[in-house]
Amino acid sequence: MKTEFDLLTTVEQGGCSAKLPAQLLDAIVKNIPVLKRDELLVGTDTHDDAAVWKVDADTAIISTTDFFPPLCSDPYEFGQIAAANALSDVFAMGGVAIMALNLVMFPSSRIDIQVLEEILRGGADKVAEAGAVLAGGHTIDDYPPKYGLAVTGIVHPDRIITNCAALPGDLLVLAKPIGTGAIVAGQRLGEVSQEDYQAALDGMKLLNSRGAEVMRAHGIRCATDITGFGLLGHIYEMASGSDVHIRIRSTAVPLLAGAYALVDMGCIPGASFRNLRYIDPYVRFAEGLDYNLKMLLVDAQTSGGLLLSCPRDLAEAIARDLRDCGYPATAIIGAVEKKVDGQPAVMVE
Amino acid sequence: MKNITVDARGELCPKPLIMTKKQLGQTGIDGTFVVLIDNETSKENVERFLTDNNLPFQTSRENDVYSILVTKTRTELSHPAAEDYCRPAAGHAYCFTSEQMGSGSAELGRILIQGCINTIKEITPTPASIVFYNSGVKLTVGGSPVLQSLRELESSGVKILVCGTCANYFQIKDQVGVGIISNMYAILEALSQAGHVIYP
Repeated sequence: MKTEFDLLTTVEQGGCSAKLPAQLLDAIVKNIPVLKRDELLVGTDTHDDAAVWKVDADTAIISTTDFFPPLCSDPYEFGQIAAANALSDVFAMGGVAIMALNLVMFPSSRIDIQVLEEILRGGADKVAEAGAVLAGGHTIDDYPPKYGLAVTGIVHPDRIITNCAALPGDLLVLAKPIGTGAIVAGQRLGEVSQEDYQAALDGMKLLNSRGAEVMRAHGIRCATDITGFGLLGHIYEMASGSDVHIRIRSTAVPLLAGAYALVDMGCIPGASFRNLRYIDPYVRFAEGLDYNLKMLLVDAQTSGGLLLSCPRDLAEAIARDLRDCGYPATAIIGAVEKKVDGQPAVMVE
Repeated sequence: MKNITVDARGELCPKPLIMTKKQLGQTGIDGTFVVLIDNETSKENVERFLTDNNLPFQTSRENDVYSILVTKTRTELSHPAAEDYCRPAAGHAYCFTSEQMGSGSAELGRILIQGCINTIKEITPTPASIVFYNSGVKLTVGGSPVLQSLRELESSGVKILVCGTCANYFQIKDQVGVGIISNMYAILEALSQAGHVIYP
């Protein structure tokens, strides 16, 4: 039986994106001692999507976790989105998801437990679709509810895809349109058409697993998925990790239907300003750049698309393959260049 | 005259920004209004929005309420219409090489150039830069009938470059009332960066 409970009533109006600001995190995480181990192939220092541990010459384990409070009304859809979002980090590293654990915070005395069942069912369906096994979890009584997964994946140690392997001459390909932050904020204010809202939810539910298959087929070495720090936040991390300069063509970036109009009316979530402050020192915006577009480039994404850096001559073929396998908005959005000292890491035109 | 007040107290982001932007749309050039906000994040975000769009504002605080006095100095916020996406990002430049427009009658030429410069600010998008050289520099001095228009353009973000060699030649360098006295390097840089250059 479908439960009629509006999950959005449990989160504050204007809750924006629930992620902690990146600067705040950077400032304290650097004080926490971390052990160096040769087996840890990808750790905390490059802001990558997941940790990677080398088991032997043929196998590395990918480990990642993600959870957040509701961003849509329907519990089943929330479960699907939270799971797709958590699984995505494994795919962004070029891996295959094998196992997942539920992370649940739920106020059993305030909300009917059926609602949790719906959330878990949504999550389980996505885990199954990703070809992984749901193997347990952990629950805490807490309000508002939060849901996500801890995910384990595997990858060949020589074929790990990181966010710090972009090479001068590469082109950047983005597989999903951006704007989920603005659309979710607009939905709370009743300013989004049902059609645009549903399209945004469907995009967030869409697994990045097929995109990972395309990346593997083309031997891609550098990618990330776009989430809470917005397109430019993740591009900056790619540029800085790869020690290159990245040039973005703002008008080529695919947008969710309705997102531009929302930002134009001022519906810019607080997370966008937070992200803008984070990237400000590292990104130069061309004079006369469309302000609405600029604010969409820092819009916090939930379960966003894969962003990959690939050799110039492969870009068209990869974009076509991605469009053909379920990411119809895929576009080539920028280029990687040699870093020039004294120039900001990212230029937006 | 009493200021129009946008009361965004009790509203969380992005509502205060939406209300601010709506009021901007309803306010005429040089009009002012006050936005009341009672949380710091929304205040900062509205301020950042105004800064990014070159709109002057003053914030004061009384108890726990911020009041932001906004002055609308520009017709258009810094975004072109959606269909203008493909225009060159650099924007265009105007280049005035004479104090007259066209040749034939000097008097008519001066009337035309006044009309031309006073009209530039009505056209969107506004240019990225306006360059004055040779006798064109005379348009930028105190008492020039277009000085006010040029100042408005400058405060809305248009870069105005006045040829320093030319101003020296006409001995009016100390009378230039708008723009930046510039050398050939800066002038050529502005012209070469422009999407296209208009010579009225």
